[in-house]
Order: sequence, then structure tokens, then C-alpha cells
Amino acid sequence: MNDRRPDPGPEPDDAALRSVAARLGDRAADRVNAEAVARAVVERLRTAAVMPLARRVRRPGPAWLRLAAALVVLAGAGVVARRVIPGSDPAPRLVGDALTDLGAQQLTELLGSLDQTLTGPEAPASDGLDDLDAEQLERVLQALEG
Amino acid sequence: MSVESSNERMASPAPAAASDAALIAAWQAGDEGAATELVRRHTRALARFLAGAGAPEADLDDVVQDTFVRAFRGLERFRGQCRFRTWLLAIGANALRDLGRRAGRRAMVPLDGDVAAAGGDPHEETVAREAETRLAAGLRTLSPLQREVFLLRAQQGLDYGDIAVALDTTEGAARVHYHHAVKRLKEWLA
Repeated sequence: MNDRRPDPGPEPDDAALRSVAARLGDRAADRVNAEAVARAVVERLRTAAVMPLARRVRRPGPAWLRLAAALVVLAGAGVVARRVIPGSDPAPRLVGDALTDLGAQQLTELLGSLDQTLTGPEAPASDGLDDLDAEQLERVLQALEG
Repeated sequence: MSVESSNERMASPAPAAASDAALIAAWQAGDEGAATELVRRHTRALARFLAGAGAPEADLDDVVQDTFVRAFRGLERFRGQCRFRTWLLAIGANALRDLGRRAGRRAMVPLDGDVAAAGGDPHEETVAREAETRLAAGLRTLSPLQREVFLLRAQQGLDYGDIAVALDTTEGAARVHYHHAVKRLKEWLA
């Protein structure tokens, strides 16, 4: 940055001003409780999801989002398996069709097991698939495939 | 409270002796306690600066909080170009300007008011407060940049290099702003 302003010369005689300025705001600051501010700030950071990357990655997302992601991956895995595995059923049923045959209790158990799978130590916890890289996606797929 | 339950609540108590840079790194690694310690450490200086710059006392707590939240949101942009406190004070100045715009006025705090603090000479205390009140009034006559430069230098004791980085100007410009501010304040107080 080019500074074209003229040199104002030596430091001004500002001792008196400085001594007053040094006290300025002291009483107002005395009334601010640093501990309370710290608690409030941390709470606001939590509420606004302002947190460092490391914490964001560890933080599990909403259950419905994880379940939806799992179902998408499951469906995708079914389609891939149908194309790749030789001798597989020429007209395999889609995962969605299979799910419609399950009762409410069975569905609940399935969703519960998927939820556990995604939050387990082997699978990366994430807010959604958008956050995952190729390697993490592959690990999710492997976990789902057992 | 057990150690375990305490740890669940707060990732790890950040040591008060840790440097700002270490606390920032700890926060970025996920340690919430580091953020708490940073806030504790800089709240008073920030509150003094904001009050001196004209934050109404009723809003002071909120502006202090807003400043910290903004700072943590933008922490990835802090590259150690100046001290963390300097950077924080510059964010505080912006937060205060925003408050003034929202309120449709120039946010200024009257620094008069209270009676003398216990333990001091009442006469000296009164004289000192009068001087502070007059200085606060004089600060209102300055441009925001002059006021900020003056406070960063005279109240916070920063050097021109740090001030220049914090306010995105040059060291020479900061020096000129300071000289103008001192000249005008002297005229005001004469």
C-alpha cells in the first residue's frame, strides 16, 4: 500500500490525553461480566452452529437426514450390484419394493440398524453425503454391504 | 462433579497461560474451552474500547457478545497479521458502527453519571470523571476512523503498525489520523 500522506512530524504531546483515555470506559467495562459473556458467546456459537471443522465433522446430523442418505446409498448399491454381479437375478426387485413388504416393526428395526451403522466407529459421522469425500463414501458403502 | 462429567460438558479446560495463538488452534481443533478462555481474556479490553468509542452502556454487553461471535465466525481469516486483540477490537469497531446504523444514530455512551468510587478521594474522582466526560464528548466530534485510531493508541496502547493492520490502512495514515485526533481533542478540551 502506498502511503502518500505527509509525515506529521514527531509524536504530539499527548500525555494528558493518554492518561484520561487510559481510564475511559473503565466503569462501563466493570459492569460487563466476562464469565457470563463467555458462557453466552459459547452458547451462541453452538446455536448458530459456528464451530470449528473438527467439531463439525464429529457432529451427527439429524436422524432423518442420515436415514435418507442411507436409503439413497442402499438403493444405489442395489442398482450397482445388479449390474456388476454376474448371474444375479435378471429382474431383481428394487430396494424400495423390498421395503414395502416389511411391516412397521421390521421397518423400525431396519432403520435402527442403519442408524447404528452410520454412527458406528467405522462410518464417518456427517451432516449429509455432501460433506463426504470419495473415500468416506466408499466406507459408508462397505459398511452397508457388511 | 466427576472429572468425566466435567469433560463431557467442556472439551478440556484451556490453560489460562496458553497464548492466544495456541487457544485459537485449540478452538479450531474443536476445543470449546479454548473459546471460553479467549472470551474471558479479552472481554474487559474490548468492553473498554467499545465504551470509549461510544457504545451505549445498555447495549455494551450485546455488542461485546456480537463482536466475539463475529470474530469466531471469521477466525479462518485471521492469519496472525496482528495481535488477536487488535483484530478483535477492529471487529468491535465494525459491530459498533452497525449498531449505530441500526439505531439510526451515532451510538454514544454518556460517561458521566456515577458518584465517586469507594476508596478514592471524592474531589479527585470528580475531577477525573469530568475529564473523562469531556474527552468522551470530544471523541464524538471525530470521524470514526480518527476516534478508533485514537482509542487504539491512547487507550489500548497499540503501536501504529498494529493499528494500521487492524484498520486496513497504512502506518503513516494511522499516525496522521492520530495527530489530527490529538489536535482536535486538545482544541475541544481547551
